[in-house]
Amino acid sequence: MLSIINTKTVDESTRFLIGRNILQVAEGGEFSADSILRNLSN
Amino acid sequence: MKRWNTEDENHVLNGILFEIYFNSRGQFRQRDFKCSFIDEIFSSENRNNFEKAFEFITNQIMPFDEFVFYMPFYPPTTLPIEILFKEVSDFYEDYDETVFIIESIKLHNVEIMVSAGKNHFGSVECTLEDFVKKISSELCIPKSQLRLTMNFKKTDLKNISYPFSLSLSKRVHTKLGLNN
Repeated sequence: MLSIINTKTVDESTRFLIGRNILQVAEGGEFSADSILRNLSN
Repeated sequence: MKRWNTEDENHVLNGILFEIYFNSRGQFRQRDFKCSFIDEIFSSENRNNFEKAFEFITNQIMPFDEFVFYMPFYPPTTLPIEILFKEVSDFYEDYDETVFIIESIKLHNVEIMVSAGKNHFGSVECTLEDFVKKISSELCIPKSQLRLTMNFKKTDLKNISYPFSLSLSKRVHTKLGLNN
């Protein structure tokens, strides 16, 4: 899902909030967010 | 994740790291950090690739170091934890079972276990692997950075019992009133 966002149009604050949301939903068991955290270096 | 880098900053990872330690109001959580993915997030590969993000979160949590056992510095450090078990036999009718009860958990020779393990009531039984996960979660540290010393061989510790209310704190002595 993260891959469809155009990084050039997203400012720093939004990026930060996206990061917070990724962990929130991953902790809640969301599989796609889980996958992002397991492959952060990609 | 690298495509979110702006020069040497990665604000998405900054947000992920911030969420571990801070609540929705931006306040430090003090306990119950969001540690479910700590092994993945704090991997050495990520620390090498995103050094600035780990520097960022370390600076953010530094003022709260009395609540934080493990600082995600670069390069990574280990945490020496000493665990003392007591071997007891449980008898259920004709079934005999050996249980290893947690007596003490120390960091740098200082007790950090809040609830004493002497009362067997309300305890959790688990394998060593699950107990290490529990310690890793309580301390918010990747398992790879835990340096455990125990008074029994790992192979002996098949059935571990710890208090249901087990929590770890740097301020155990204050909580027990031992400083007075």
